Amino acid sequence: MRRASPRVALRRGLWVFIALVVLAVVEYLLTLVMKSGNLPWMVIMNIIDAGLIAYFFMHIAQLWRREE
Amino acid sequence: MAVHAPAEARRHVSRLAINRLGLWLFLLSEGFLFAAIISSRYYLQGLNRPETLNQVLGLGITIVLIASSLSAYRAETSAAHGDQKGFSRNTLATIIFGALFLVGVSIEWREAFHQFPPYTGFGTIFFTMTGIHAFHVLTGLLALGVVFFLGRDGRFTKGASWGVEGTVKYWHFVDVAWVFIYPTLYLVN
Amino acid sequence: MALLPLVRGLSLGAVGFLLGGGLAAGIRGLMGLDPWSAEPVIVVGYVFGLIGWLLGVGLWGTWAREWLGLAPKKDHVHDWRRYFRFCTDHKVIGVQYLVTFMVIMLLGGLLAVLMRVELMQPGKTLMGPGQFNNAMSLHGILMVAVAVATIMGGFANFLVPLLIGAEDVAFPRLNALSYWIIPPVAVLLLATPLMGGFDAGWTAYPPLSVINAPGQTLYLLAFLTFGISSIVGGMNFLATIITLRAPGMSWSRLPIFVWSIFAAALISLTATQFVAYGLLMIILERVAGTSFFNSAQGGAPLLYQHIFWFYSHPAVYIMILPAFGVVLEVLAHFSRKPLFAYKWVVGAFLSIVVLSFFVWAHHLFTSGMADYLHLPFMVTTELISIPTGVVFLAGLGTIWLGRLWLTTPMLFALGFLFNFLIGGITGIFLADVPTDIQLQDTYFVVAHFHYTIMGGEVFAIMAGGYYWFPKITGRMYNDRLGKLHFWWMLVTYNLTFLPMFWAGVQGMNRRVADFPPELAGVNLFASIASFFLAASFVVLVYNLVVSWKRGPVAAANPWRARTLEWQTTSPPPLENFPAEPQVMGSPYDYGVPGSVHSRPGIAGGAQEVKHAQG
Repeated sequence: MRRASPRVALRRGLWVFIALVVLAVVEYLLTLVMKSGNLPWMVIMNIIDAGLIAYFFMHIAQLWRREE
Repeated sequence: MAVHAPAEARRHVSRLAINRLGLWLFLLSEGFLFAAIISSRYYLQGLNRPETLNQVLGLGITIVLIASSLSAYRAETSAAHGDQKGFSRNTLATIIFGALFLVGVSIEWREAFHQFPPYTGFGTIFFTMTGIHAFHVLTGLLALGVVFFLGRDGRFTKGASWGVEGTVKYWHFVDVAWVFIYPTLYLVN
Repeated sequence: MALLPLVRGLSLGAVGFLLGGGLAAGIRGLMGLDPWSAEPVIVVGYVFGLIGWLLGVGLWGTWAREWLGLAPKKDHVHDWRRYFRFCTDHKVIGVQYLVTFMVIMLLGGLLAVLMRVELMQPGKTLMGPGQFNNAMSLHGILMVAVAVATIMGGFANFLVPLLIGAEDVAFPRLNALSYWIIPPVAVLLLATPLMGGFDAGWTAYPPLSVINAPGQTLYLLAFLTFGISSIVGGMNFLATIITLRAPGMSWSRLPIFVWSIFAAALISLTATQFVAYGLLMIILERVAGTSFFNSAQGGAPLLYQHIFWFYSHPAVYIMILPAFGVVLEVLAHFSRKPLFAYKWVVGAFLSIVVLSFFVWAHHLFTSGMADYLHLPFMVTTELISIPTGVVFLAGLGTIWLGRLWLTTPMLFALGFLFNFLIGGITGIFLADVPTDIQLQDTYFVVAHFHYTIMGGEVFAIMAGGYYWFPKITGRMYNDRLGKLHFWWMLVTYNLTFLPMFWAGVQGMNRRVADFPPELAGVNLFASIASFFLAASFVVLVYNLVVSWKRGPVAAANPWRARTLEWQTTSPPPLENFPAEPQVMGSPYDYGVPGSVHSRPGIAGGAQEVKHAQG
């Protein structure tokens, strides 16, 4: 991603954080509701988690995009 | 002479890009370690999960670790934009969150020693998995501490922020690993 | 004085060991346990000792000082003392690896000779069954280390940067670290006999490896440490090959040896973590009383075998892929022909990498794992012989109608093809479940993997060693002695191992010190042949040592080869090339009119001059 201004970047970080917390809470609540077979949902949500962190927090796109 | 820096003119890929690639390769390798650990949980214990796990604490330390990722992200962004104060504040916050996470894990360990000690089937997996992860948190905290003390004189906020970037990427990776470990230990059924 | 870094490393290592051991004992005392239980004290002491050794040997001066905000120290040593220091020059590290593992190979070979002495006749000759298994295990792990690290650590370090026109690897300090972490491995392994040895084989299957003598723990720590070196090395080569290629060195012009290292590095980067975890589980089982393998508590010993072979089967490709690379390189240059089916070979290397992760359970056909796993793993194992066959045929296609120049390295490369064919074909019987169930744990298996690793990879190491000897040392070896070594080794090697196939089919079990009297003849024959095989290494060592000291000075390009390492002096200068070379075409287009692989760079650009003065 192109280098955003600090304010935009910090706000984007906050949104990612909120999304991650929501996912964690959803995982937890799902376990309370579903008494069995929640593994596929966990895996899906974990992959979304990992994707969010890798893309927004770890800037994985730096690997193949030209440097800023 | 033992250390020699290749002449800058010859390099076609910047030092920064090489460092990033190397770190990502290392993280890929670490991913295989966690994959091995997680697969051994399913191999040995299937979906078995004791009812005595402290669910509130589990969710709590997960959110604390995610929060530490946010502050680490903010520290990196601040360093890249030359904001010395923001860098120091957020790095310190990350260290505190990380330490809180470790405190949470150790409370969890105290309880676990009574409920499912390491010689039991689930205890083996639980202590190994949280232990290896906590070791990664500990190394991350050491690196963050080094970065925090080195960065007080502004060396990272003056443009050369690889030290911060690398440490923060590693820290995020530790978070990703936990994101997978949390449901594996606490939630699957 | 020259050995000061080593002394510093040893003393800091000892201090670290005492600190860590004391710490472990103290914690055990506080927990109300017996403080002087040997194994926990050794494990924690070793971890601290390893850190102390690394800091002392040079990590502190050249690197760790930065972490405290101090300037790193520069080490201004240019002569032979570099080889005993934390030197970041990839050529020095390559030589360090090559010499170290040459010595380890001779030690491992000596153990093999001892085992063959024991097996000369039924009953006890020299060692009891326990001692025999200790010798067998030590031989196994030493040779596995040799097979993994001689090409990947030695030749690859020396040659990959040269072959791609770079000045060094991507992370020179990590590179030095990955070498200096090896000496503790050697020390631990050689110390195992003092602690009762380890008799569980290099595979260290539980439950035996959980309950045997404390020497087992030393072995586990050693292998774990070696794994770190392997991971760091793999990461370094990948980053180097991806980012530091000279201008014009596109992926389709990369020398095949570099491709083979790239493929092997992918495996060692990733799969090694599995064996690290497997070994860690056994350590925890021994030291912390966990229940991974204790079925009474819900553990499963088979877990270890799955985790272990998920690394260790791909690991045989860490051994053999670089060997393919060396052999194809030598075949192309000495056939004076373009490398046959270059792109197919690259594709084969990469598909071997992928497939190698899906074959591990063929080591478990007789272990009692679920029956439904037999068929898929049989199929994947046979599938992997397709890309392997492609590589083999590319070798044959390269020498086909070539103008063969039968130098010593070329002879060894041809010997590789001969031996590897036998090793490959006998592998099919082990991939097929019905025959494997009969042949598992017999000398058929021993013969098979020695044909691929010793007849294959060690012959490739010899080919590479003679081929690059003038480049590495700046001197020429004695060709007559080299050829003598080749024929001697080829004949005695086959006389030693060919009969083992027969012995295995007749029911000769591996990993036993004794055998039924019916098998006396074939064992005596193999033993006597093995003594002659061992003697062939005397020729090698004599030739290498004498030539290194007094051999005729080698030209920059004695083979008139086209790849980049021969376009600089022998041995190359610190910066490898006076100026960065320009790559124009394929390295193997011998006899193609008008083809050029590379042009030397133009020295004397402003940066170059500045750098030369600085």
